[in-house]
Amino acid sequence: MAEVVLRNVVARYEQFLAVDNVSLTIGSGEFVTLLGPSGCGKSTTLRIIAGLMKPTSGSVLFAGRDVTAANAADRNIGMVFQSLALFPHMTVAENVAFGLKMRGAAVAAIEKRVKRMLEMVRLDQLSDRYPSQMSGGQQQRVALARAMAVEPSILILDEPFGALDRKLREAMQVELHLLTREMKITALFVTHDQEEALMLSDSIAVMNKGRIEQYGTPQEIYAAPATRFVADFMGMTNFLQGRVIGRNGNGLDISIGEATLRTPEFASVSHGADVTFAVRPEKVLLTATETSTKAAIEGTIRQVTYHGDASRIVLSLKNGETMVALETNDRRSGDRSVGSKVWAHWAPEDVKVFAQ
Amino acid sequence: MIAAIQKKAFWAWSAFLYIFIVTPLICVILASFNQESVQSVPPLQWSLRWYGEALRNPNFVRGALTSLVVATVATIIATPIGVLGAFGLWKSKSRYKAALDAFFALPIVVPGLVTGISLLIVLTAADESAGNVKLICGHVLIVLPYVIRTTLASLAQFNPSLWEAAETLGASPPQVLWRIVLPIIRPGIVAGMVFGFILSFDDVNISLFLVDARTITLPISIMSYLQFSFDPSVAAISTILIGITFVSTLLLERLFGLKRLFAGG
Repeated sequence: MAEVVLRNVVARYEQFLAVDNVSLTIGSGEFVTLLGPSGCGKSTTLRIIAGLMKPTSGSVLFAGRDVTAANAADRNIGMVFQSLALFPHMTVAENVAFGLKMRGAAVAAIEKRVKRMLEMVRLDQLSDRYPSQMSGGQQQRVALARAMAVEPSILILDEPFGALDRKLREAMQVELHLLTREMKITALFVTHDQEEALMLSDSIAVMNKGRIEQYGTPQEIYAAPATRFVADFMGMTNFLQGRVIGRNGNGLDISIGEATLRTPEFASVSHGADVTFAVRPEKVLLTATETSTKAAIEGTIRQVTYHGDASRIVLSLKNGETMVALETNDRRSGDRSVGSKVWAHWAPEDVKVFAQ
Repeated sequence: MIAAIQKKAFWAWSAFLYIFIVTPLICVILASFNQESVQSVPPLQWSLRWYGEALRNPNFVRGALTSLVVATVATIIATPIGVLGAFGLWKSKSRYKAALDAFFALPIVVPGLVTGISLLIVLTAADESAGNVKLICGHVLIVLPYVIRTTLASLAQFNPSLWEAAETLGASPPQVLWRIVLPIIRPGIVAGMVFGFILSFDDVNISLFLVDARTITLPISIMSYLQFSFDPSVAAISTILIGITFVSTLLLERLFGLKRLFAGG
């Protein structure tokens, strides 16, 4: 296991800038996720780390050694592909043994290692099967065992659970979490699923348009998104346009339409600035009357959808903007029929303000 | 209602096509069992007499041996050339790729007569005693385009992630080709070989210009036999050929059809 460092990596396809000056350090034994929508450059970054693609400029270091010019075959990596890419003409055991064979390991040593890896993923009974004779989850575990058999410097996983159904995906996530922590594997995971990223990672790099928007622990990314993009991607999806109209001792006064809302201090914005005000739908509380203790904003219910444990309520605000509240069903009070008027409010600490 | 009619029409059309293809074959097979030296269908009297005649005809036997050797050697020579050529085209990023692709299909497109004549002109320089060599050169040209085509078709189906997976596991490009690509596309290569082999065994056009008195292929000896006599021994030898082709196709389907199931594509 080794520390992996990216230094000012740029990747350009003709005119398109896929990766725009990315620097990133993956500590030894750390599980890092590149998170972002499709086309954000996360897969290109992964391919550059794997050695399947050369960067236009910048460098890649494995344990301090510059491997930028080295081919994938010479980097000692283990990779799990989105399509799994199991060799269809080889048995499970032959698949897992392939990397060791290419490294010229002794037959007895290969056998021992393959047996151990298959025990680890609980497939030792199926070692003579062909991939096509196995279920999706089993194939997934073969791919994982194959990648880990070579004791890679870094384990790279490219959206490996995308094709699985929800239940199996959750089971595989728990299993991967357990395996990587137990064996202290340096891992790089790529996904567009923020829940998956939050659950698996020690650190997350949120990517957008080829750049890293924010790099931090799952807690930091979720609770303190640094940019509007990160907030949006992490589910903080209510955005209202406002203007800073005042500063008091410990907060900002922001006008949104006719309402004035008080928020905690955000150093990055100044008086008179146009700002975007963000709050999570699940943090929005609805009441039938205005509460005097908190700043609130009035709206009319436009749509109510039922989600089992919660209901999603869409409000129209007076200034024409929309706001969404996710309200737990068993704590509801008051009328939630379409057309009725409600007041939306929230705790000051649940709010983020971004300069425009 | 319309769907039902369409379905019936489809079945009728299929049946018609099958009859169209199979009827001549059945007629040949039936004719081969005549007692008399007439090609009557169905035979007036049944016998295996003409099979004996055909197998006793030294020209047929020698022709069959020559054809077998030529087709085998041509396939053995053309296959590695074709497979390597297909690999090259597959990996090539050249802008002449499409042109090269079409170029390698030329022997199929150019009339066999033209190929035969050109080879005759080019190969007159070759030693007279090397009749087989000329013939084999010609037949390599028959087999080659089929091997290239079917190999390219298989490579187009090949999942590029498999290549990358092997690479990340430490395999060099030749190792990936030998251990991953080749085993996976083998059914395609074999299909091309079989196709090429049968067409080589069958060929008249190109061979006509390249044979000499001592090396005559089976199709040509059948042709020259027909110039003087029209008895059912020709039908008998044809029936034997149909039988061999049928059985070998069946065997290949069994062997490689099942294999493909295992490989899962």
